[in-house]
Amino acid sequence: MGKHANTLKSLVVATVVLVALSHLYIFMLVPNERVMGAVQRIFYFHVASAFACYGAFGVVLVASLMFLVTNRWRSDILSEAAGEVGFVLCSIVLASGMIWGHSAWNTWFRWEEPRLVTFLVLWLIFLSFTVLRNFGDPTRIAVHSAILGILGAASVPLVSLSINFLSAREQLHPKVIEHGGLKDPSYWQAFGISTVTLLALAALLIHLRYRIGCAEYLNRMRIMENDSNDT
Amino acid sequence: MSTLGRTFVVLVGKEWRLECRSRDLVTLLLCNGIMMAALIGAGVSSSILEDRVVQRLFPMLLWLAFLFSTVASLTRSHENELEGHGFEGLLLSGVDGSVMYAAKVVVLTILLSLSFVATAGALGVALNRELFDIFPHLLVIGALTSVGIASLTVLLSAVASTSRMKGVLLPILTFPLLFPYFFAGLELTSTLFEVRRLDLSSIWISLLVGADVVFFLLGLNLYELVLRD
Repeated sequence: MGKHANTLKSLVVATVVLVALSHLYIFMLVPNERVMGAVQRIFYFHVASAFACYGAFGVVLVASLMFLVTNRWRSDILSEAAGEVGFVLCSIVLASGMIWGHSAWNTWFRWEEPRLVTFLVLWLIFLSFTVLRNFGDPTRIAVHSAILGILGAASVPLVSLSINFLSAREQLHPKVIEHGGLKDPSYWQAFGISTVTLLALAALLIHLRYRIGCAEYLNRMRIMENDSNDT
Repeated sequence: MSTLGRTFVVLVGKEWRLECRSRDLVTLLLCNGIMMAALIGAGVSSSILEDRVVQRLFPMLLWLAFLFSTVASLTRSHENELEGHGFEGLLLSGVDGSVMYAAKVVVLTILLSLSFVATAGALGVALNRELFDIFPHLLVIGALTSVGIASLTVLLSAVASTSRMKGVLLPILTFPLLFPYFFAGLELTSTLFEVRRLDLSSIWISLLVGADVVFFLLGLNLYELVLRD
């Protein structure tokens, strides 16, 4: 118990320090971008959340596979925790992307954009995963959500590929990294710190949700054991 | 023929006879497809929109009608067998879950392909489109997409039918996974309506075949887990 508490404490402290540092960089140290101005600062939240979201989706996939192979309840709870956190992160990516897109290109959403549509579909998959966790058959939910997690993971590359094939239409989404953008070193520093921060925040939230899930599960088991002892 | 092959043929026959006897699914698929076509036809008639706009919208309307009618029709597809303990009986008799899955997918693919052509025909009549010359091509597109849709819905309707929401959950679970089929089907039918022939070397055909293989293999390996757990 003490070891777990220490891990949690250090994760919380590290995340708080990183959040403060990334805010310092994003709002105080990084200069305004020449064309987009202050709005460009949304980039640090948007891209970092996208990385963290992919990470959460990866955890869902690995935990789902682990559950189907080992049948250990902890893997199921980990996939549930990562699914919920991933859903929140994916919502942040979509919302920040829309705000940024609207102020930069006067459009909320474009169906020709592989990354936008991939994230929308990813968000829908996370949504269906969350709905299934809440309304599925409680006795079979672990297997069912593991299966949906695997199907979702298989579907995302197919969606991305299919939007890439939709050619002959202009793509507005900036390819910042591919085109060698972020010339000022402070841009790169802020980008790196914000990415690490969001990854740490996602890890912390998944860890907390996982511990809550484990406590709920153990409590449920204890109640069932007591009931069976009484009868 | 191997034991597995014989079991597969017997199960396909069982699924087919079950459908012929009850006619549940085929009735629902045809009725929902025709209803959707009639509603769309009433909403997007040429008195409201110009004919060339209707022509451009036609592939999208066709796919919306087909996907919605399909998923709405399949919501209760597993309930009878679950309530009658049909799956338990088959599993206890030693039948492999993957063979049961493959048999269900084959029969459902045939029904969905027919439903696609029927929906296209109904929508073509409702929106006054000429489809006779491209019907065989439409059937190929319908069959290719139906394999994947059947692979996903057979697996997910087994998941949804034991949930608290019963079959109502199926559309929420299925639609996000159907996006590749929607895009590929849309592109293929749009091109087909323009050039009046199907290009089998199209990248979209490759995408459809790839998606079909991925989802079918996943279903083959995961279906028994859904039933056994």
